[in-house]
Amino acid sequence: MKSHKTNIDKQAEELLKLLGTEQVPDINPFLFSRIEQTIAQKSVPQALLASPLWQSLIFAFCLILGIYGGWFWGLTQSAVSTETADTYFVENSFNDLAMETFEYQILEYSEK
Amino acid sequence: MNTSDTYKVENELVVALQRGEREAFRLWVDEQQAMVLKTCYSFVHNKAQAQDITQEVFVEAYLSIHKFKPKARLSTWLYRIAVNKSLNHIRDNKKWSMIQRLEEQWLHKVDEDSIDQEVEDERFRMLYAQINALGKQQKIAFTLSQIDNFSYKEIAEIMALSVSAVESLIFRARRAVKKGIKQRLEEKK
Repeated sequence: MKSHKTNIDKQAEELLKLLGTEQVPDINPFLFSRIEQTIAQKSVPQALLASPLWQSLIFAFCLILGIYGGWFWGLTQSAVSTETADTYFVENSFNDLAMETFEYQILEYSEK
Repeated sequence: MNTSDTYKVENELVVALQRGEREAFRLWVDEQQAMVLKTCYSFVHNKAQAQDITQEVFVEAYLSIHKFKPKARLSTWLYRIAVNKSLNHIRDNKKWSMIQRLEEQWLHKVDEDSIDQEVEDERFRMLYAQINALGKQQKIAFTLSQIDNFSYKEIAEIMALSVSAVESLIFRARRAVKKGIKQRLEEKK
């Protein structure tokens, strides 16, 4: 029983000795070209964006664009709604014939 | 010519890389690729996958070199990326790698001449199964120490831990791996 345990101990130690002996794969000679290709595909000019000054400028530009865009959009929306209200007012105040129903037409015709 | 000939101080290399100098990057890749490949392979145990991860590591390093702070060594920073990429790859491909392994086993069984290789592979599989069963920190420390032959100090830098913590992790990992192997061997008998 004891010899069995010692044997297993030995085998386990032998297995642990295998660590680091496995053959490492060969280096890919085209690795650098592949890396360059991948970087080129990610077309963002990283070196440029990396600079803190550029990061601040881009952030400020995005912020201004966002605020101005929101203000402009707001203006456009209110203009549209005013126009819609005006159109509604004109249509219902001066062109109320359009509001007359078919039943009203029949009544009016029969009265004549 | 290697990077240490061209750039006497590591800071010069870092500045050149941050400026996006192609030649500096090429020299750096040439110098570090073998070690990065070895590190990735020691985690994923698959040649093609290790090569793909190595490529990803350098792409990531290139794109985030501006984040590098010269408090740590550049190589340590690079190996940290390699370890993280490898662990992410294992996490994302658990199911797929299991299918691949079954496929490889089946192919090996068909090839009658590769019995010795099969026995050898089985021994490695048993070993790696025990390493993979370790906790994340123990697995990283143990792999970097026992397979990649990094020093305790280097591992401590890569893992951002103290040397004594790394020693403790490796000691406990080695004990757990040995215990697991012994259990497997006893089950086989």
